Amino acid sequence: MKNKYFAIINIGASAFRMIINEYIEGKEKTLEYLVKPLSLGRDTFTKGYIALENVYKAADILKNFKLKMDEYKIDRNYKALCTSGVREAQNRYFFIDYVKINAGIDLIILEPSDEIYIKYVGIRDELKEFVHYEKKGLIFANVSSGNVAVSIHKDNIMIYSAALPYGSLRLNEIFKYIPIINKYKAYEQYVSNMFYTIKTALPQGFKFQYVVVSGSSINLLIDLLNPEKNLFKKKDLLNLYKYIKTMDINDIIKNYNIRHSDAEVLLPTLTTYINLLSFTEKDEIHFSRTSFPLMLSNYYSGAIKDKELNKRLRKSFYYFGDRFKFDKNHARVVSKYALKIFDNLKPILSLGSKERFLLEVSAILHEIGYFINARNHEEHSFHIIKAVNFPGFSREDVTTVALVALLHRENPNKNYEEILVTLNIEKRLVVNKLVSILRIADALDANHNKLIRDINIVLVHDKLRVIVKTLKHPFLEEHSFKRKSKLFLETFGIRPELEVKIDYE
Amino acid sequence: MTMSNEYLFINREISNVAFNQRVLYEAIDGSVPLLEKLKFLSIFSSNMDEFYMIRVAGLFDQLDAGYTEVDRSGMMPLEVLEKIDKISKKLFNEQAKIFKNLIKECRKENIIFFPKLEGELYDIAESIFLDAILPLISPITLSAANPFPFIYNNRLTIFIELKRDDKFFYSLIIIPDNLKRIFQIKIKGKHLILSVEDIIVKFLDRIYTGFAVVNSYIFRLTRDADLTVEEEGAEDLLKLIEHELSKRKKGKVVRFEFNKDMPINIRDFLKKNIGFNNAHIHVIDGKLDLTFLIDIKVDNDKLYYKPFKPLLPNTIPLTNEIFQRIRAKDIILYRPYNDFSLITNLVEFAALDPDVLSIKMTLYRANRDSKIIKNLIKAAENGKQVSVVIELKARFDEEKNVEWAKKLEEAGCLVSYGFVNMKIHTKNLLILRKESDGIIRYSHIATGNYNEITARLYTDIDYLTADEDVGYEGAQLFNYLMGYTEFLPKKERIILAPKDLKNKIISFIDNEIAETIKGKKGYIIVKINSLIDKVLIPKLYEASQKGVKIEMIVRGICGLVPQIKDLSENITVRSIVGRFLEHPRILYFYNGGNERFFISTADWMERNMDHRVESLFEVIDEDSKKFLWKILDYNLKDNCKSWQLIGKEYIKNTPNGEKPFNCQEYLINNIESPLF
Repeated sequence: MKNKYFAIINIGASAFRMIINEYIEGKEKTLEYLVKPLSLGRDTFTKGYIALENVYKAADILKNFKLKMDEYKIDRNYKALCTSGVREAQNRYFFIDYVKINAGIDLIILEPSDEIYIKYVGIRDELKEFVHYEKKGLIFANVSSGNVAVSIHKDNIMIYSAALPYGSLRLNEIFKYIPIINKYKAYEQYVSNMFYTIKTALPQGFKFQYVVVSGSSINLLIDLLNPEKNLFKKKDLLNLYKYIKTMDINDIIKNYNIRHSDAEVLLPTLTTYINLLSFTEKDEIHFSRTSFPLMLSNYYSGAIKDKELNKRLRKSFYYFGDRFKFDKNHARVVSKYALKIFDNLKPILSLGSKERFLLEVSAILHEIGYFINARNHEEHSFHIIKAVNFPGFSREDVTTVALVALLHRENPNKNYEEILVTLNIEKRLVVNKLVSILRIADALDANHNKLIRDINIVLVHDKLRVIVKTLKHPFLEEHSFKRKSKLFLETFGIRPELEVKIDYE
Repeated sequence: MTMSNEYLFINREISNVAFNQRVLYEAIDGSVPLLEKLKFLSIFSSNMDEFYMIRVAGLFDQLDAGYTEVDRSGMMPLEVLEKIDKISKKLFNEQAKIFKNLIKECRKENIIFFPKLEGELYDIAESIFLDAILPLISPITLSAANPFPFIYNNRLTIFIELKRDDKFFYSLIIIPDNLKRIFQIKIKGKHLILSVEDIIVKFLDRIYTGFAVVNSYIFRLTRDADLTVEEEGAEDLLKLIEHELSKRKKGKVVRFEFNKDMPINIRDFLKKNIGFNNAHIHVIDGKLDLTFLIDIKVDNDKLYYKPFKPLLPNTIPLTNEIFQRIRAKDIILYRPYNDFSLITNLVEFAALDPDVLSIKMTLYRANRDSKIIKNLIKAAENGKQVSVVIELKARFDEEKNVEWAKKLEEAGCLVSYGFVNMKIHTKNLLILRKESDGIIRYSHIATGNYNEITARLYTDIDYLTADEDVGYEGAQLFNYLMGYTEFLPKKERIILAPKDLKNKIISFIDNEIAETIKGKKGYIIVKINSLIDKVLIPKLYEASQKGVKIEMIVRGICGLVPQIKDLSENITVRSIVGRFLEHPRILYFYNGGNERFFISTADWMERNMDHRVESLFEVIDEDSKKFLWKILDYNLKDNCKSWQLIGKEYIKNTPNGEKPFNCQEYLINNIESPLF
């Protein structure tokens, strides 16, 4: 990699941050780091929209950030990402448009799953022991102003992941009318509800071994507790908590010499940390000092790569399937056949490795809806998949997989055109291609009994020869193949043909 | 007085006057050349003018507001004013006497002050009057149609009594700003110095034709000139400052000066018509307002300090290679012994260098025709991003700075005026340069202004480094000053007031106290211009009581009382007043043997620590630390130009049998060695 400059602007719920990095031979050097407090979250979490006055202020801040980019002659090498403060605002598109026109910066909304994924990748890159923690049983929480993003890992599987609306600024805003003397009780009750939500998703008797935290709250606690190494001790957090829990904001500012905005979120932050430790029955929290903008920069500039992502996701999707008692063998067989077809169609598919993985995930989860009912199971699959929230697997990816699963079964009584019209033509074509392949692969194990032992694919001119090896003639699969291969013909203009080969020597 | 109740403090204003007294006494120092002595009289006058315009005006404000609280020195505003009045009167009398003696000395050197305008000189004076003066003055003879005019701050004014047809008239001539105060004429090897007021008085009959001139008197008013800018909600600071400047000239009268021959009835008439009650009244024996003495130039080198050429170490190239040199090793310089033009040139190189991306600079007091500013404009025209943080509120330079701000903005520079309630006093230059191995930031950190004129008169430290941590924090500092971000230092190489600076200094002093408590050595040397902070002084007393040795080199105001048993016996305070104005702030802490050195822009006053953006920069380069140590050492060794504060009195140090050591003269002659 040659030297390059990359800028990240992160519009958080309580502050605007910007980092400009120089990447020399892949190594990062931070040239600039800017922080400008502006609490968009205060508007969003209480009123539901960003007040016009703050839209103007935001544009002014971003105009200055733009000047910094101009200084380094950064024109396109940047990403300006908004989290919950903008994401949850009803007028987010107006905000984005106003900033574009007035500051010349293109804003992107960062989805919660992307947000936590980037934090996960960032911290994984920084904390050497993180991989070990993932194996042993880890809760990773990103406590920020708007949300608490949580992911739980064990044996390198992501067991749970969610962005929960319990961020410190949000809590502060929700309970701002509660008197100081009782405020801590309100926070405790509210936060305990978050842990209840998490608990319901965990297997019985799940034990945590490690707690890792990141987020804007870290620096505040570092300043106040001055911890040795990257570790907060429960007793230190409790001591601080006991001391400040009924303290007036002005006294907190005076006693600790911190900003007003930090003083406001100190109590909700501590409440979350302490409850996190109680929930996990641990005494210490590991943390990362790497700022979110730096993580974003390293991620978007390609300085850190998550080579294990698909492997990890695959495991997690199987685990997810298990939770819904899916037919794992069927999932395995269908994904194997689907990928074989995909790989053999490469010259005509114009799809890449990303779509290949989406096909695989669709094959794994396509029948997960059986958990609810076999009848219209494809619809149930669609809804269950839509609830997937795995870091590294974007909302867009989730939607694609859910649609492919929905359409894997031809249902003459249903018309999904309404859903499909929301996609642009390119996306729609991708979905069609993947569904065409999945339908064939699914047909090849129609009986769910692995009658077909293996397949070979030969693409000749206008024909796709699917040669199946089997010990018994697969009547149901043959019938199913005929029915389910129509879309393939419509999509590619290639006629799929099934050739049965009895596998004997 | 014990530590448990009140600390001992010297009143700030009294200490300020005491500093001006030391300046005045340079005019009787035998080692000072004759014309330089005149300059010290001038500096004394302008310092006292400023003192009256700002400090005394402030005390009158307190008095008017009915403020009767006792300050840390145990004095109420009225008491302070009375004491100032008493000391000032004494000092102005001394100044007048010194000037009379110096006039005699000058006569021996063929410099003739205020000769009688007779014979040939009458004709010359007449020509000057008709050509240069008359077109610029506007006499106002008082009448029902011509009421008493407004008399602006610091304008010399002539009051004339006239008579016509047995009727008396009063007239006023306010000498305008754009009229020269003195006219120097060289005749037959003699320098004749004529004052504008003498010439006007001589030719009053030409102005008042038809009148008989009965008498004339000179007077001057000093007005409150403190610029109070209420910036809250100010849309455009630039416009606001311009507006306030126009108001400055019209502040309340705080001092009324006149010659002793002005009769009481005229004084009362003026007092009544100008409209003031409790201004200080100064009856001057001789010429009023001696600030003009700094403008006297004669072609006789022996009457001036020996000229010297500021030196640039030969290891420093005055070419574009300077960037490589800075990368190789930090550069520390001591103005005016070292040549400030290096910094001027550096800005020029940066302006022309295609690899430079941006230049950032703070401007507090720049000189007219500043090469630095011209080069900043050139850089902007060359497509570099130039950011300039201008302090519009720099006292008495506001007009100049407004002018620069407009020029820089027109050239396309990003100009920022800093903060609403804080002056920006830190002096920084940052150059970003794209080099083969990435972006390199060149930082210049100084204790003095980017002013090519005062760089020859003030002593200051210039520090140049390409250290990445310093560059990063320098960029942070500018982002903060431009309003882009909060200040977030990584390694705390740059510490800022008002956020952290005072607390850091306290922690450094505490560290020395802790060392002393452990039975180890505690040692602090502080070189600053003023010490009046109500937190830092008691902290120094505390350190002294715990056994920390403290050597303070405080040029001007000092509120600390040293050498008091059980309070400050381990503290010494000295002040150096000499050819150059001592200006750098250098701090030294022994730190258990791991000595720490800092340079700073901050004086130890609440004003600087709590209401200004000031910086404290740690020097870690070993050679630079040695360099700073030498400066402190020479300051402490000086026995020619230094004054020792004993209790509340300053006593001038003398060699007292030891070898005389004049720190400033020594540095002029030895800057090359041993410092380099």
